[in-house]
Amino acid sequence: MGLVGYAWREGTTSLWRGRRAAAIAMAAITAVVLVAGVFLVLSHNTRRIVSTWSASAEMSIYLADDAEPRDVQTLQDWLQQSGMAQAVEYVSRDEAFARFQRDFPDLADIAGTTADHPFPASFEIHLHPNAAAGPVFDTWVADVRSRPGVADVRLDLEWLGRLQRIVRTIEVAALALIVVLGLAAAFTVASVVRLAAASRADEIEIMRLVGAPLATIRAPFVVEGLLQGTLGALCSLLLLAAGAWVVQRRYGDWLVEVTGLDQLLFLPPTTIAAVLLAGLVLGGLGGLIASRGATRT
Amino acid sequence: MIECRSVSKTYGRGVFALKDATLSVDKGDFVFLTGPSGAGKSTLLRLLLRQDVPTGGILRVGGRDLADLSRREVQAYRRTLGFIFQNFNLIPTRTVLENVAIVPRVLGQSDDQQKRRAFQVLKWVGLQHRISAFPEELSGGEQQRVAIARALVNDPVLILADEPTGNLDPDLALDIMNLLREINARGTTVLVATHDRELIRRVNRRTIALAHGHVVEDH
Repeated sequence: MGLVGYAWREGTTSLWRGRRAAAIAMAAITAVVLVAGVFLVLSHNTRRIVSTWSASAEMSIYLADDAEPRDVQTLQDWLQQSGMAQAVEYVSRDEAFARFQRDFPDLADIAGTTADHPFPASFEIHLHPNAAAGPVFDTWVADVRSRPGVADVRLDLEWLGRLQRIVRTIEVAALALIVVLGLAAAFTVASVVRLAAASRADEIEIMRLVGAPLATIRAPFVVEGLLQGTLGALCSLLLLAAGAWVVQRRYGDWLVEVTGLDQLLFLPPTTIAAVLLAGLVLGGLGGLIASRGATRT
Repeated sequence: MIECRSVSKTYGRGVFALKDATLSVDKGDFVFLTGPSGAGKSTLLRLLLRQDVPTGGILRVGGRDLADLSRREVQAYRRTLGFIFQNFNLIPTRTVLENVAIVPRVLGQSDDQQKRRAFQVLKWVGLQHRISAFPEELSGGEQQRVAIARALVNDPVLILADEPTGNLDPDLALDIMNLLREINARGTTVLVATHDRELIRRVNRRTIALAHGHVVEDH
């Protein structure tokens, strides 16, 4: 039997013997990974919401009544070539008036007549999804405002940009929280594995005296930590999946209506694998810390 | 085999456990190390097991200075030793066979080899019928036989025993000593620390006496 087989057998046996204490460590890891998982699910879906909303974001460029047709054409060409717009649509004064009458029939009589209505011609821009991010877009908007024939610019992307920044800030804060909680979980695992090591102090001492390599002495503890971490992460993923299922079932329709997403998604497979790996690493780290302490001379 | 030249060991603020102790043990010898409590017997055994290093002097086993050994060399050195303690130091959650097999197991032998070798030595110490028992199910004498089997299982060149009969009645103590003499007769060097003068008299082998960390007698 090789070192891996030996470590596996000893580690699982020790885990079973100390299952009550191990349950505490696994609960700690479950809590940490659950917090991380909730943030990941929220972050994943918030990004999708922002992306969906960004994809449907529009910008209106109102033209001055006395804009020269040549300036309007130049502006349209420039907008189409700017790389910021997915589509550029010219809306004439008459078309704008007709839209108003169609959308607000009750107010049609106070908007004036075809000859003297206040609605200007405009360009309606369907922006690229990621156009709102970064200072390049702000510079571009300022450029638009300064073009000949432009009277005003209205856009609904500024708040999306702010939302993206808020999401990013929350993600950074969540990451910091997860790191702190992760270390706490690793130390909890270390304490539990250390307890297991203390209960096997005689055995460790005998192994040292017979000249067992350090790897042989430490490996079972590392395996024990790895198992605790992986099982904890697995528990948290199951809880998270159950929670997501309940939310989807109870509030799915409402959320779809509010957010505009077709459905709320659980974590992608790569993230699930990363979460399991994080649990494995946390547990292994705890086991390693404990085993180093147990074998220190 | 063992060369101990002016070896000293101090703990804390100059408390001497051993002071200028000089002795030698040849290969194949059977030697008692005796003296009252605090004489330095256990300290010398700790140094020989390389659980500690001398604060002065030179301690060589098989020509190697124990103070100069690296961690890996210490592990390799210990694989050439067998050790027996007064309190048996058996693992209570393991069976007799597992307690003995732990040595070949940590040395990387296969399951089959481990069990085969462990059974051989258990048979030699007369415990082949108790291989599935746990230590608490055994008498003191049986537990010490298991400890001896564990010490023998890797064919050591040197056996170190610290008060191996301290927890046994005189007849069992003599049985254990007879086992150690048989082991010695097969060429293994045996060093037994004990303060049991009656046992030493009955076995009648070379005896080195320590007092206050000094060697005071060697005959």
